[in-house]
This record gives sequence, structure tokens and C-alpha cells, in this order.
Amino acid sequence: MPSALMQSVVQRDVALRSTSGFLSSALTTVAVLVAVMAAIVFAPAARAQDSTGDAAVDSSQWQKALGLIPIQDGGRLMPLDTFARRLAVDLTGRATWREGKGPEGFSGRPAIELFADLIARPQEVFRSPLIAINHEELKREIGFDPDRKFFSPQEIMRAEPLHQLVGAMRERMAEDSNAKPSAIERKAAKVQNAAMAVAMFQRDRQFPLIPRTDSEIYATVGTATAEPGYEDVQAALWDFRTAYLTGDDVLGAVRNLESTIADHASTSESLARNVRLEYFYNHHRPWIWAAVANGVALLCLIGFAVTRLKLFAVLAGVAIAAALGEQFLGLWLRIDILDRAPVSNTYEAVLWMGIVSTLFGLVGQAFNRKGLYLAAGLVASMLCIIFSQLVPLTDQTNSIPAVLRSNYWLIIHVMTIVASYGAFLLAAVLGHTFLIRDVVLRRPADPNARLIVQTYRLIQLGLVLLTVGTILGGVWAAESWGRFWGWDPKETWALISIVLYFLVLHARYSGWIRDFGLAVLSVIGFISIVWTFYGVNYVMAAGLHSYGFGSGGEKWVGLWALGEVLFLALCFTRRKASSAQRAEAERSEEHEVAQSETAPPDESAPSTA
Amino acid sequence: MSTTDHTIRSWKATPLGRVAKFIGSVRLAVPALTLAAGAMVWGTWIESTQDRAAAADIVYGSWWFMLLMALICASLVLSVAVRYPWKPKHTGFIIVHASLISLITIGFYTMYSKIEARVILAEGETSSIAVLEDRWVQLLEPSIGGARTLDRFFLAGDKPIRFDLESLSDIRIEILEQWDNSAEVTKITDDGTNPFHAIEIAAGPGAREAESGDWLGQLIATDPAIPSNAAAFAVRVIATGETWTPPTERPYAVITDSSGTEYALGAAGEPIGQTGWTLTEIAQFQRATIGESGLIDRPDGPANPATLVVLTHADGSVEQQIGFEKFRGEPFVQQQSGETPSGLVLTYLGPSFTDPTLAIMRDDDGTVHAILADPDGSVETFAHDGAWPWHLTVMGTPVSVLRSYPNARASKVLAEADAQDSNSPVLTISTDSGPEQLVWNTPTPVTVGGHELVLQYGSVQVQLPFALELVDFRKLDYPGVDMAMAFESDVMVTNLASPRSVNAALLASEGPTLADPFEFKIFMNHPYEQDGWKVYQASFIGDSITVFQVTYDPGLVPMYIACTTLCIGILLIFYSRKLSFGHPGIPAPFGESGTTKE
Repeated sequence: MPSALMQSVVQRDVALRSTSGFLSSALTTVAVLVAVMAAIVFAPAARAQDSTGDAAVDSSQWQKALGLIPIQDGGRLMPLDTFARRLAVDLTGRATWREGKGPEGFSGRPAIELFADLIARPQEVFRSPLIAINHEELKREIGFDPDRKFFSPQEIMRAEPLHQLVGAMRERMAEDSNAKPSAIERKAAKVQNAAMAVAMFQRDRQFPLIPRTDSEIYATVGTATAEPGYEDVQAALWDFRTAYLTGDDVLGAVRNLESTIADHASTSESLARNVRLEYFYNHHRPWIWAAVANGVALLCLIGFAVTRLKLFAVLAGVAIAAALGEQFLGLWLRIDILDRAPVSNTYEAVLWMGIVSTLFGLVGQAFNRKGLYLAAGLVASMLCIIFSQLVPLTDQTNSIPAVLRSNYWLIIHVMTIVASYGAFLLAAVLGHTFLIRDVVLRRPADPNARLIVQTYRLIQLGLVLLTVGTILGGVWAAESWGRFWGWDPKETWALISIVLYFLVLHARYSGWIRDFGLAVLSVIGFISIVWTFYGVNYVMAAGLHSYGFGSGGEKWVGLWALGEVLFLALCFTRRKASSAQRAEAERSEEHEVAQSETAPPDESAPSTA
Repeated sequence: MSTTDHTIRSWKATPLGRVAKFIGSVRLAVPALTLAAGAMVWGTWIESTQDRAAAADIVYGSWWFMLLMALICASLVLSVAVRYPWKPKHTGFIIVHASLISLITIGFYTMYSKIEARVILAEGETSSIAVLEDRWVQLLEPSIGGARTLDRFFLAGDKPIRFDLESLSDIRIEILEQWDNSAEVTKITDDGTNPFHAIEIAAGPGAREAESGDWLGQLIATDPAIPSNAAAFAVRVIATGETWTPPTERPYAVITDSSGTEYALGAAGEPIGQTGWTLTEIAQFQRATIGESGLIDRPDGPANPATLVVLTHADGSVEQQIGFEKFRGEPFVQQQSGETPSGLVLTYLGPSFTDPTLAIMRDDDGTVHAILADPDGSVETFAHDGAWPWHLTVMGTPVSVLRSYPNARASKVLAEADAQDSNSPVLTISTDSGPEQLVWNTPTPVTVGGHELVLQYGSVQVQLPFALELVDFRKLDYPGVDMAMAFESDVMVTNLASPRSVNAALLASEGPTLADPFEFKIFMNHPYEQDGWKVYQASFIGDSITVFQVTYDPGLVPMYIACTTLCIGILLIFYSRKLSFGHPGIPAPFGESGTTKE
């Protein structure tokens, strides 16, 4: 931990003394909410880890050995562990389920065991309820019980209405290249694919497991069949199957499989290292540790604010260092494993946004020790990680299209843009804090803390980054395919956000809005940012930035937006109710605030643009 | 200084000055920008629900959006102007607003000056011609060895065509219709020079054109409500002057030998003439279908008479033959045992008449009647009551004869078609002689406003100042999947003589002098650049055809400069106390307490 930061944390003492009223209310509320959410998200994973228990010590060995075997999938080499996790996500919706939750037979077990099951007893898996269907309308449409969550591949393969639905969609898309599948059709196709994936195991699915000396493409092998010349690997895979079914020396069977594969050719050392790193990444879960450390840091800051024990400040510093360390570890692992910039899809961008939030919080705190930048940064960072883990953002480790590969400007462009989102998120967190403290809880504003100034500063920072980033995107587009600006939805929405935030600054400059208006607009502005970032790719799904397209989380994001609107409505009502107080407060503020001569009287309600 | 102040103040006090002040004020800027943001939201919405072109058409390229941009630009200009005389603290403000003015101006300039074209090359091909992506109407001057472009008009929406040439500045060619694709269809008119009978009918499914005969007419529509196997009959129009009587003879199967002798098919067990072969099996089918177990009669199948015979020779050879009425003289022959081929052929003779036929004919006195002749020999006659359309029900299928043409003439005309196989858009314009169709890339002489013009609707070719030869195109996939990791083209570039100007390059087609070719590799994010032109790797077709995007954008460098100054200006306003006024109530920069006052 840099000593400057430590000093800043300690220096905050002065500020905290004066703002402890606020800290013990608003920040506590936020922190408790975040902690509760974190508990909801991470507890199942943690418990799933525990539930393997003593008896499973042995099995964890062969699971690790099997999980470390490299497989070629999705255009790259990955550990079988990742392959199994992706399979589990595709089928059940999650990589692991805690005991008592999720599909029967898979709950409380690691993904690699699902893979082993699929190899060893595909018929059984085919008949057991495994595939998650959450879409109620789809379930009704195809005559499934809407109250059930998991369905067996067999049921799905027999569901004629489902196949009709998907068939009709395919036909339509074949005829009209502009046709887009509806949400229900997309889900139906996904469910059908999942069932067919299981069905493939029944017909002895082959896997690209064996490296070759003469080609980059791995040779494939199944339990009963293999590419000619690789029958020994097939026999080893069959032996593994037998051992798994009988439970007899599974580890030995996996080791045998490993060595049989190695007899043919060896994976290059750099690729093998990546596979090991990826296995480590899967099991270390740096993002979750980062979120936990962030939470600890927040609690320590609160503890420090309440008790003013220096120990809490030191602990907070350590926790922040740990959180950042984990985040950078995760970032570095992703760069190293996937060999690309760590901002190539929505999932990575959200994680990058979290790192940027913490960093901005630290930098802001270093500049302005009376500020709440650091606390806001931690909250923002934690929200980012929670969002990324909670919302099923599709394909977390995919290959990227040719156009996005190895371009310096593109990386700078995306990183700048997402960094601006981080700044705006920070501004929104501070805006919320202001609204909770000054409007909802009606704690009198502390003139020294000037929370709203920090919000304003962050909006400025975000605007600089967003403007520069959008321009860089134009530069990259002009250099890549010769058009600087093309009214693509993503760039148009970036421009809308820029215009919106500049309007906020102009409105503040002309005195049309004051502290309250600025706080409200920092929240509304962030909704626009979320739409730019998430909505354009996940809801509108149009335009050139299609690498980020996906689905998932619409419900969560929609709920959040609705919550924000309700929160703002609450703020407006609270503010009206205390209009007398407000008039008083603003009269005193009038002295402070220099006004241009065109400023209208303060009675005007803040414009929500 | 004070006099200047005074002049400025007095200027601002005039009504015009007040208007200028209002336009340059935040009070106008905020609603204008809000409106622009709203329009952009709408535009992205249109793009996601419809497509890119619709969004460009309805919002981004519309006159009102341009007007809004112009208004914002004016507001920016005046916001700077009304603050004269400027102080050092205006620096940031002026830089930002001047940059924005430049950006909008450059944007407008780019709209009219930018050239976007494509070059598609197969390996080994060379080209110095790019094709513009938009649709144009060109004014051509026919000359020896081709046509020369005098002027061109960029087609956007349905605004009328105007050429810039002085001699044609007064004409305005209205666009009546635009089709994205067209196809030729036959149209019947009643203006033939000779009597020739044709009808126009709307028939339900089940009716079809007779296989032979003087069919001339248009099947307008079929009624999907009627199941397709409800009836199966052919419709035949009998030409003027021709007589037609329903055939009474039925087609029949016989066996012929190589000399052409016919042997009637008797019962099983009878010998076939003196050939030495005996008919050992015979089966007749009316609706034959080849099923898994051989030939079967499918009750719901289409009419398909067929005969199966098995022939046996004295030496033990067995041969099976299946003859279809539709494929006369071409039986399926299968040698079942023995070595001797029979040399006999199972075939059908007699009139080709398998379906009921509805014959529609015109008598000498001009009346029309129809006859339905069934292969079983029955004949039904329909008399026309004189009214058009004439509705009749034939074998349960409604048939409407819409019109009868005594002097029919068939001609090919263009009709709008779905954009599928061919790319043949059509533009219909108004000319002195009525609507005229301009077919894609086809020069068409027309007379408009008394001027005889040759117009061509289509793509426009652009002469590049260099020639590209595709030596090799490579597409690298990610291992194991069909997803491109990278694609690149090796080209040989020949620098042609530098053109006088872009417009000259656009219009010129003379061969310039050549320089030595050199190698260049074009790939993603690595374009070839020369004389303001850039060639990008855009896409590919198959394994060996590359698609280059070619652009000429003189506004790009100014755009970069304006963007840079914009960023500098924003930084100055936000973070410099000397060169900006700061914001009310906001201390500047970080770490300061208190307020900054203007």
C-alpha cells in the first residue's frame, strides 16, 4: 500500500469527524445493502465449495487431474475444467449449484463431475431433469409445467411445439436476413441446443483432446470411437469411464488417460501454462475475493468513522490493497490466458469498470482528503463485481472477431470509454449518497464536505474520458474501415450521454439546477450510461458493436432502473414536503453561489432533461 | 476600451442583437440539444426495430435534423460572438465552442465530399476502378467507344432529379417509383395485329396449364382455401380459327420390338408374337408411385398411368419392364435372371390425355364457351352468359375467366420483385412521353422538357489513382472453428499518374502513364493509402475473393484537428482557473475549498 494512501486514509479522520453523522447513516445503509446482496450472491458458491466434504478429498484429486487436461474448444485451448463449466452453464444456467438447490443430481457437485456423468452414463443424464428453463412464457407455449425449473433433455427432445417454434424461426431467418428472433425464440433455440448437446453424448460425442504434430487442430476422441490412429486414447477414455462408474482408482484412470494423450504429441509449453493458469483462475475466483475484500474495507471505513480507531484505517488500507491485488490478478490472468485486451466483452468491461472505480476513488481521495471518493469507489467497484457475477452475461471467455484483434487504438478506445463509465458510476454513487443524506434522511448538509462538488468533479472527469474515448472510437473506425462517424446505435448513444451530461453542466452553470438537481441528474445520467453500455447491446442488439451482443439480465437491469425511478420519486416527494426547510437552506446557499445574471429564480423545479 | 464596450452593448440592445443573444444563449442551446438527443434516441430505436437505412432516411439524413444541426451550429457561433470582447478567461470556452462549430461544419462538408466505394477482386485480377455504394442517375453523352458522363445526381429518397449543367438547370425530373429489384413478366394486351385468342383467368389450385396447345393467358391468382388435390385438370385456350374436339381415344400400352412391330398386351401367360418371350405378369396403375415395395397405386396421388410387365424367355431369362404414360418409349428395364435381353420395349400409344382438360374457345361469332373433357369420355359444356368475369365451377374448383382477348399480344414488362437472385433495381421517372423505366446500369434515351437525354440509373465507377492486383488472399481461422481470426490480401500496387483533382478523377477514363508496381499487404486495421485515398480490407467472398472498401475523405484530417482542440478546450474549462471562469459553487481545481467567482 502506498504510504500516500495510508496517509490519506488517516487524514480522513478530520473529515470523518465532521461527517460522521452522514457516515453512520447513509453509508451504513448503502454498505449494508451491498453486503446483503454480496451474501446472496457469493454464499451459494462458498457453500458449494464446502459441501464437497471429507469424503470427497479423494475425488477432488482426480477431478483436478481431469480438469487440467487441455481441450480445444471455441477456437482455443482450454482446460477440461472450463469446458465442463461452460457445459454446466449452458445446461443448468450455472457452473455449480449448492446442495439442495439446482437440478437434482448435480447440486453440490463440481461441473467436471457433470462432464464425467455425461461420458459415463449419458442415458441416465438424458432422462434426469437438468436443463433450466426460466422463461415462463416459453414453458407455457410448449406445454411444460410453468412451476418447474428443470427439465430432462428427453422431455425437451419430445416437446414437438418447441421444435416447431425453433424451426419456424430458422425458416424465417433463412428467408429474410434482417429477421430477428424474439426473446422467446432465442430461449427456445438455446434450450433445444442444450438438449441436443446432451443427446450428442448418447451417441458417443468425440472431443478434440489430442494434440498433433502436423496440425493445429486437435484429434478427436470419444469413449467408443476415435479418429484413426488414436484408438489407445479411446481405450483410456473408456477405462476412465469404467473406473468412474465403479469408483475404483479413478485417479489412476485419469493419469493413464493423461499419459496416453501425451504419448502422441505434447501441447506447447506456453499453451500448457495457459491451461494451468486458467484452471487456477477458475478455482481461485479472484473477483469474488476482490468483492469480499472491498466489503471488508468498507466495513473498516465505517468502523473507523464510528470509533476513530486507527486500527480500522490500517485494516481498510490492507483490505483495499488486497481487493486491488485480486482485481489486477484477475485482469492479468485473463490477458495472459486469452491473449487479448481485457475489455473484449461486456463481462470484462464491467470488471474493468470496477477497477477504474477503485482507482478513481483513490486518486480523488489523494487530491481531496475531505471527500468521500474512496468509499464511493469501493461501493462502485463492489457493485460492478456483484453485477458481473449475478447477471448471466453470456460467454465470459470467448474468442473475438478478426476486426477486434490486436489494435492499439481499439484497446485504448474501449478502456477509456469504460473508465468514463466508472467515473459516472462513482458520481452516481455520490449522487445517491447526497439524495439519501440531504433529501430522504434530511440531515443538514455539511458545508465542508461538499459532497455535490465531488459529484460534479466526477461528472467532469467522466465527460472528459467519454468524449476522448468516443473520439478515439471514431479515429479507430476511420483507420479500420474508413468512416469516422456513422450513426451506429452505440456511438449515437455515447453522443446522447455526452450531450446529456453537458446539458447538466450547462443547466448548473445557468443556475437552473442546484445541488438537488445535480444529484438527481447524476442518477439519470447514469441510467443513460447503462443504456449505452448494456441496453444497446443486450436489448436493442443492433449495429456494429455486435461482439458485445448477448442476452441475460434484462430483468435485473430493468428492476434496477425502476428502483432508481421510484427512488427519485421518493426524493421529489420528500423534498416537496420539506419545502420550508429547503427554502431556508437555499437562501443560505444563495450567498455562496455565484450566479450569472440570466439565472432564473430558484423556485424552478430541477429540469430532468 | 470603454467605447468598444459601448458599441458592443448598443449592438446587443438592437432587436437583431437581442435575437442573436437569444440564439447564442443557454436558453436556446439546452432545448435544442435536448431535441437533438431525443431525435438520436428515436434514430437508434428505428435502427433496432427496422434497419440502418430507415434510421438514416427518417432521422439522421432528414432535412429537419440538418436544420437542427444548423441551428445548434448557429447557436454555438453566436454564443461565442455575443461575448466579444473576449477576455483570457474565455479561452477554454472559445476553444470548445469553436471546435464544435468546426466539427459540425466538417460533418456537413464530409457528407458532400466523402467518396465511399468498393473494389472486389478475385486472385489474379487487377482493377483501378472502384464502384460507389450509392445509387445515382447519370447523364451520359454517347461517344465513340462508350459513353461519357456529363453529370450525375445522387439519389436519396424521392427528391426530384436536377442536374447542375447550365443548359439543363431548368429541368426537374420527377421520380415516380423505385424498385429495389425487378423481374420480367409477360403481359397480355388486346392490340395484336392478327386475331389471336387469349384469356385471363383466375383459377383455384388444381387447375394447370395444358402441356401442349396454344395457351396464352395469365393465371391471376389461386385460392389457397381449396386443397391442392381437390381437382386436377388442365386449362387450354384454343386459338382463333382452330377447331378442337375432345379426344375419344385413350392412350394404351403396347410392346414394340426393334423393327417397330406392335404387340398388344394380352393376359398373363400369352406369348408375344414370335419373339420367343412370354408375358408372365401384367399390372396396370392409374396413380402410380414408386414406393418402398415397388410400384404401387396411391389413391391420393396424382394421375400417373403406368404398366408393369414381366417377360420370360424360353431359356429362363426373366425381364421386368415398367412403362409410364408420361415417359413414352422409356421403360424401366430390369433383367431379373438370365443373360438374354429381350430387345422389346413397353410403351404407350394414343393421344396424350391423362387429365381432364378444360378447353376455352372463341367461336366465329365472338362468343366464348368452354368444354371439360374427361379421359373417361364424358364431356361437359359451359356456355358463357356474356358477362365478365365469367365464373364457372369445374370439378369443384372455382375458375373465373376475367377477360377474353380476341387479338391478344404478349409482351415482356418489368415488375417489382423481391431482392433475391438478381440485382436489377428500376427507377420510374416522368418524361415528356409519360412514365419511363430506367433499368439498373442500362443507358436509356428519354425526352424531358424538350431535351433529349441519355440517362443511366445505377452504380457509379470511380477511377482510382492506382491499380490493385490481388496476388493472394488469406483467411486465418481460429483453430478448430470456422471463425476468422484474421484476413489479409497481398496486392501489387501500380501508381497511375496523379490525377488533376478528385472530380477529374471521377469523370476521367483516359489511360494514365504507369509506374513500377510494388507489393503491399492490406489487412484489418492496415489500409493502403495514396493521394487521400485509403483502401481497407472490408470483407471477403469464399476463399479467394477479397472485398476492399475504398474511401476518399478530405474532411478526416480537419476532423482530427477539431477533435483534438475540443479535448484541449474541455480540459481548460474544467481544470484551468486562468483560462476559464469555472462554475458557480464549484471550486477549481481539485482540493480547493470555497467558490470561484466569475
